[in-house]
Amino acid sequence: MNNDAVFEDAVRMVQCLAAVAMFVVGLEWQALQRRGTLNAVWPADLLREEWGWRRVLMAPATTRVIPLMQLLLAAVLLLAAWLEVRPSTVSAVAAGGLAATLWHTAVRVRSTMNGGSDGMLFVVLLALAVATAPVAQALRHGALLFVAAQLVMSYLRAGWVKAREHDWWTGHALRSFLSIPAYGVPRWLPQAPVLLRTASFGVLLFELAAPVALVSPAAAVAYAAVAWCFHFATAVVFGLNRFLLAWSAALPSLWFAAHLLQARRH
Amino acid sequence: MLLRLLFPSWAFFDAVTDVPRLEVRSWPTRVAPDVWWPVLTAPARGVRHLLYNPEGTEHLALQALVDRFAVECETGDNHTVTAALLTRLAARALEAPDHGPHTANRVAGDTWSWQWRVGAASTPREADTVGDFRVLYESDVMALCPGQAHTGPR
Repeated sequence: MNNDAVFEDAVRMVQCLAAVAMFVVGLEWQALQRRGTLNAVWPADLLREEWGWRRVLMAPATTRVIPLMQLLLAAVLLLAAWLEVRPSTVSAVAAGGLAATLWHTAVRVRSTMNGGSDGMLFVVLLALAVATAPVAQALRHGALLFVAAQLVMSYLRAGWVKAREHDWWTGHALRSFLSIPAYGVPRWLPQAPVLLRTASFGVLLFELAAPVALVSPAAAVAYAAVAWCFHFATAVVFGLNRFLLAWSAALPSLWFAAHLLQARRH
Repeated sequence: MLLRLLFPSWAFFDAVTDVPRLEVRSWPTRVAPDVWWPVLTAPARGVRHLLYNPEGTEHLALQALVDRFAVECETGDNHTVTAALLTRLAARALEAPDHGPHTANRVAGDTWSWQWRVGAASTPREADTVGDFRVLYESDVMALCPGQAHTGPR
């Protein structure tokens, strides 16, 4: 396969998976507003001053319509991927609009709703807005490479900060994180010391090995498969469903980056 | 905010640190203060929550608010707005019909007081042990409206 064909396939995969992720984000944001949590805990009258010029965008009517916009734009993004229209202004606008809704939510609640997963989804959507736009091919490729770079960085940095902590090598750190009540870790999860040490070592190895994914397309696919299992496990154990969705959407970019690097070498 | 979204730190689950916890207590003003109880408890999860987990997402967003307040307290940053938001969150927890151990003992006509605090709970290194709790901030004692035992101040 040539670079352009791989690029189009990778973008289509990212597009479909990002649409699914944003569909879930929209539904969850709608549920949170329906439960009254937003206005009860983050009332606009307390935050208006902090918003400054952005207060125009934070009007209650706008905030209420954001989940609907997310559902609509996610459907457009999915449809455009299915129809295989390339390059597509519609896809670019939908992806850019979805990224803007994530920014809106983060400003509305003074932080990301779901930590790093919002960051990864924002990176993916902004890159998609460029990768699907009718702009220079180099720019479109660059956008997807940016996702791959952020993806590798996300694993490498997470692995590096863990590797510097002695507790991560002994299994103590993992045991402590599993005991944090905020995560509601299932009681059935076995936590034998030898198991925790092995799992900790596995996490360190997996995260620090992220650059290996760029060695070849086959390595990228293999690494992505392991990564997906890793995120599935964190969704089961820590309840981090959005991390599974966001990183799933970003993973196809690895395949394109590995393909491009291999083509450059030959 | 834009830069924080575009370039997240990616330093997930690095060092084991104390976990901030929001607690609240309410009591009839004529008696001694009641015990503290945690406002946020992780919601139960099932298979569907692997994909769609609004309760979990809400819980993590609220915990992030508590985490932010703890950081503001420890770094000496201005925490006025975050404290006001936490007052709303704690008051909302008091509205739950089954909150706290003394809810069932409420007598009509009693005046009630309430208070919230944020502390840092250390994560125990060994199984079956309990970590320490270090108080970072304790709010003023506030009054619950007479005859509205389940309603916190707005």
